[in-house]
Amino acid sequence: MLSSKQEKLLKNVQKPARYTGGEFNSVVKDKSKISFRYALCFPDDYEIGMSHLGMKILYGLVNERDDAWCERVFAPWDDMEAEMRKNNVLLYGLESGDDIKDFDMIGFPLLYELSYTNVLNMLDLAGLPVRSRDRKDLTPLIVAGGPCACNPEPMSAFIDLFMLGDGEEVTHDVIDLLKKHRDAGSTKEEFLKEAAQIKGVYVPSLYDVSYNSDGTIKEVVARENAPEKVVKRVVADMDTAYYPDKFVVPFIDIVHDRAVSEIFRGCIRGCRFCQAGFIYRPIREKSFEVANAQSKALCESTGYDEISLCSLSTSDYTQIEKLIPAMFDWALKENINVSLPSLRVDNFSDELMEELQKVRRSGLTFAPEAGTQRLRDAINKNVTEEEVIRTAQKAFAGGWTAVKLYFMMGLPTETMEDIEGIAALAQTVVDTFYRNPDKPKGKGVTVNISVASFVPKPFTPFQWEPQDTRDMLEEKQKHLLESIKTKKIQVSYHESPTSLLEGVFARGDRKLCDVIESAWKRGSKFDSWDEFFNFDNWLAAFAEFGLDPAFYANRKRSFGEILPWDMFDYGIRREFLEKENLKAYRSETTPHCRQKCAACGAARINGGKCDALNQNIL
Amino acid sequence: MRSIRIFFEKKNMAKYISHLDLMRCFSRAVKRARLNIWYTEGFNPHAFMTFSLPLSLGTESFCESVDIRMLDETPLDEIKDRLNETLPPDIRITKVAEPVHKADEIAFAEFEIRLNTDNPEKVKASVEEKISADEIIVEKKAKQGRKKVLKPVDIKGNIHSYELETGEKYVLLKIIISAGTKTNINPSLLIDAVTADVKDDIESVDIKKNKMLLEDLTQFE
Repeated sequence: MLSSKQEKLLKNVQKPARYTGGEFNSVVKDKSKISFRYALCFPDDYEIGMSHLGMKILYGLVNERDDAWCERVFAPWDDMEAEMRKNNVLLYGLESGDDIKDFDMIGFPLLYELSYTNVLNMLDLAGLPVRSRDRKDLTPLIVAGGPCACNPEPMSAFIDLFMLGDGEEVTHDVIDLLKKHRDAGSTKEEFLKEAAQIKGVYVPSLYDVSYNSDGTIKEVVARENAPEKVVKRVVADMDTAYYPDKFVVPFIDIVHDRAVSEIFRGCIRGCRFCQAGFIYRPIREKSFEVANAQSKALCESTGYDEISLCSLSTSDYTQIEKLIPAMFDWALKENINVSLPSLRVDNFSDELMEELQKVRRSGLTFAPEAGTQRLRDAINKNVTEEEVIRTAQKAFAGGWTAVKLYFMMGLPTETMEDIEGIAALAQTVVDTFYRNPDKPKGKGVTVNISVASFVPKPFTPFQWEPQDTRDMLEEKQKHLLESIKTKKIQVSYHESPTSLLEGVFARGDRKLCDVIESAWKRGSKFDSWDEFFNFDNWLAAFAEFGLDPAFYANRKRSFGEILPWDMFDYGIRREFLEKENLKAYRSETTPHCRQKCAACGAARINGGKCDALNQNIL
Repeated sequence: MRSIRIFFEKKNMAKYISHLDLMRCFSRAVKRARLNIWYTEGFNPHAFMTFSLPLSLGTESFCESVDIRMLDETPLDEIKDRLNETLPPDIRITKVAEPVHKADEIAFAEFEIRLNTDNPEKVKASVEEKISADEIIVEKKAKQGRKKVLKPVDIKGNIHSYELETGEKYVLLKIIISAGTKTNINPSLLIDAVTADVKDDIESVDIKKNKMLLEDLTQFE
């Protein structure tokens, strides 16, 4: 419930329902009956944060506890921020309206590097010092997790403790320990020292980093008995892991306004550019019975008329042919649409194809990622031109007339020939349409190609690779546009300095904390939004501390260099990544995990278990 | 198939929900309540529902209504209870009944407008003067071709009756003005016009819609 002082602001802002709380299924608890308050702060706007599955899982999980109350907080849009600052209203939890600075713990999911300045801004709006060392009290403890936590060094000065890997179990461990220390009156240092012993917890203040004269890392020394290698957490059994049976149902339209059913974690594909494909390993599947029951329960509790399956690659789910008919069985009767993202249509049976035609069809999307077979082999995207053509043919026969193709630019080993290959592949898809005797009558075809800039990420075989400079990318883009000869192919490409920044922070070290703080002080926030992004701010911030973005983004590392994330164990062995890197330069592919286990090492941190093994290989 | 009319309150934080968002909220609540209602039969079937009148963002209401079509004989009280369980706390069903009037029979609405101020007497005097003048000109949004323009309109004739009273730190304006599909006056336009001279004295404005009325001032049911 908001105070009248808070409510007054809502009359002067756009989309006030972002800030009111009170949505169906939001959890309101009796303050006198709980002893721990947690603010889950998503460092972007309401519409994006409310779409994030991790938030929903953690919100439900903490609120299952009788002793704790978890509330949601999103980055206020700049009109609301101005009102808050003008009227001295601090950042509050949407459920209670209480200031989050009085909570026990504040957590930030870090999904993308360009949200870092928002974390600082939200701490400031909460009335808290942004630097960990300036917050002397034990509470509120500032924690963070999510994919960017696999190299959290650029944020290490601001966050007290990071949780690596799956959050379901470690969140409980941290809450329990924090409660114990708070009640015992411990200092922050006493707590952090013990917290570092929890598996999956990284306390940056317990590690000393020294540097060589060339700016690379010389040594990392763990103090106070903190582990030399922090091992990420994994949930072993997806069937028994917590999954929410309710989602908070927003009033306003959000990015993904639907029920979501997670079917497995990890990915068997091993595309060498893809961080998600490695950091979420090993593969852990949910049984289709559990996924089906969870989906049904969610639709009933939310009233959503759409449910989407969630995983890194839907068609690699071994039980997909059982799950889809089971879901259609109840969903169609209830006017509920089942959406299946990241499907590979080529390996579908005709029966399943038929089932799929019962529901509304969305656009058809392929991600060949690279224009030539040589480069696709180098990045281990095991898609051949024949497969793309065959699938397109099947789709055109089924009535589709628009196809979207995703590519990347700036991949390691890429040449201008590969850029021309993008145009050529798109042209082949256009030709396939016109050669198809079953093509829809009287209709043309549109092939949209969307090109993203490649950003090398930690825990991938390309973690040592230089990112293309902006000049190189611009040249390649020009060449791509010149290579396209027809208006049936539309290119969307957006070269932006934001990819450079993303590259810097993805593989950055602790020295960048100063840069982030400085850019934020200069007014940077919402950096992933064009209307807010200010590159000059960032250049000034780098210059202030004598740091060169190119050192982080565009420099090739040797295998011998100590990388900022080398003190983390994400399961994947470094030697495996090195081997994959060398294979890329030989354009040698690695079969996917069901064809042959590549011994990446991820199963090691899950008691030797990986659902990619012992499966029926089709 | 039978039509039923659901009367509801939209109060507290729910006043910040736009009309479009309210429609989505209701169709989900109906789904959660597992009411057997009629869906449109197009390519994208959706729950059929008609709201009597859209409500402005920021206005609380105690007299909203929406019509749906039921495919079974669920008792009206049960529909009310089931919806109250599946709607957010700030949207409450007060009554479910068979529709008596058509939505286009609505002619007036009664509002209670509270002007929060440290100078109630001064504000009251100024508002009194403006509201009793021969004409009240407001800037109404209109379309000129495709362009959106502000058009001055006299709404004096749309005010049926009003009462003004003062309290500690507020002025209360109870007013009955034209509402409905033909002429609909947004009370905040009226407020902007009649408080023009005392804008700086007014801290905030709370608007409540209490009743929807027919031409003869009897209640819309």
